Amino acid sequence: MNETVIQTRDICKTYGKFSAVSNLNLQVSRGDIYALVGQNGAGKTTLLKLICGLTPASSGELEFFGYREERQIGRARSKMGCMIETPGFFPYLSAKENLECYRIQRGIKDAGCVDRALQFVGLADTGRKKFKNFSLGMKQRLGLALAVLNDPDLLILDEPINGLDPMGIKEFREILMKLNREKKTTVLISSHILGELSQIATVYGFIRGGELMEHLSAQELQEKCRKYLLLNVDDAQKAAAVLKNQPGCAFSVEDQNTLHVRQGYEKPELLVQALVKNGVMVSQVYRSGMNLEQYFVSLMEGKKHA
Amino acid sequence: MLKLIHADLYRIFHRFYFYTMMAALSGLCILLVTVMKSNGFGTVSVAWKFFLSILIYPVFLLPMLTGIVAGEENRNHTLKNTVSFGVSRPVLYLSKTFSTILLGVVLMAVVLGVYCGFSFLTMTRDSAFSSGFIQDFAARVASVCLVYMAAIAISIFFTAIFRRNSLSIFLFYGVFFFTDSLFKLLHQTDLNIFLLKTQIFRIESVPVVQLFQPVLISLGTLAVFTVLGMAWFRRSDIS
Repeated sequence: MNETVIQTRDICKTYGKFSAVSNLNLQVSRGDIYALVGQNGAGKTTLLKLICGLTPASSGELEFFGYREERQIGRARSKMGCMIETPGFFPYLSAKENLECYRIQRGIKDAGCVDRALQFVGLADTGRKKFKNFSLGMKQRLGLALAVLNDPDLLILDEPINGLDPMGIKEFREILMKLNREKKTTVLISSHILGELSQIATVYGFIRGGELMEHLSAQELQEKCRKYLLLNVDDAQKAAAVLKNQPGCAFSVEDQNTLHVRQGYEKPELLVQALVKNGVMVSQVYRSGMNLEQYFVSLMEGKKHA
Repeated sequence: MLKLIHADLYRIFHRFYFYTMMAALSGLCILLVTVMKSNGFGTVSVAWKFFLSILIYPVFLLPMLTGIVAGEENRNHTLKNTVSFGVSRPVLYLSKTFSTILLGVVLMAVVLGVYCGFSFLTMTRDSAFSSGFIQDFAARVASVCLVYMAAIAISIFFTAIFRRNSLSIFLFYGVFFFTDSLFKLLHQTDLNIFLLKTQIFRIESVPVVQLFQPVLISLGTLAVFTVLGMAWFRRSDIS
């Protein structure tokens, strides 16, 4: 059975009359790379801040590494590394001094962890350069270095690849996958760069208006986005009866005129021939399917999915 | 708590600004003693008594200290790094208060050391400068340090509530220096006794045995503002 790392139950956050997160139930299991997908203002950052303890919940419950009591959750948070919004550091300190400050604060006895974290994110050679003189990408990397400083079991990252160049994005992806693969680090990540998320995520949570609209595993999403052959016919039930007799053909009836053929459509002309032969009028035939971005857009627009 | 204070001191002692402030204040002390000496006030006891008459001025520097310790955390959005690690918010708030107090003690020790040391070395030690005089001076300085600690608690309180450094400094000065004027307007001048500003002026003039009053009022103020600040900080959003 998968161990649950984060579980929210009907968690809400309101600011006056505005509800940033409402009755949200999220479950992240150990080893997941959970991608939180949503538009600007959907409530992603607020949800992450609730989980990180940066903002108190208006109502609802948070379970963290199996703990529910506030003090225990606080202690369990020491197993977490996070980067919420822009990385915050002291501008007059170098990368090493900044991390050293947090090493002291967190009581990490191993002084070598600072150099290792800097090496890990490619900032080992920044020397005495102060944080205020860092580029946006370097700041993001230092944020990640802080997040991994205490060798966390859980990483929470809010828009972590903003400002990274293509090489940086690639390296970042590899770092996350390495942490997840080798140390079984659970990752909860939000990003607008859906193409990037689709390369690493094992679970997706789609959020809109502070509510979790859909929670899917990567396989389920793949299934939903999978390519299919769309058939527009005059009578879908009649067409279904014909397709049942076609070897290896798997399909679903979407409405009275539409069918989606998911398997056995390598030669669509044969299917069309069979349909026409049996008196089914075919008006449209084309291959379709979605990537994560298209799925997200259609979900946000409230369309029905195949 | 100790780890948090240690980390605060680590970053502050890696900051050029702090040393500049310390050097500037030390330079000011040396200049003051030199000016006094050149104007004929050349005895140690006069110089030390003069120090007691200007105890109100260090209050102007206190928001700078809270700015270095707590204000900077707000400005640089670094508190989230600490809170998200699971550090208890009341403990974090207390650590900021203690760090500022410690910094103030270090600064006060250096400034006092320079002023008293320089005047002791360069001025005439007259008959008034006795062990009794030194004890009296030390008692008054110790008392005013408690008043400064209470003032730090007020300053930290405003820094926690109003994240903007300028606004919190403005409010601190307003509350510290103008509350007596407000009491006057409201015909409540009896309440002035509870003000830290009043106590600073009293420390200079009252007999040493009466110093318990500023001490008690300072401790009370320190406790009230620390508890209020902790309660506020416990539920506030960290950006």
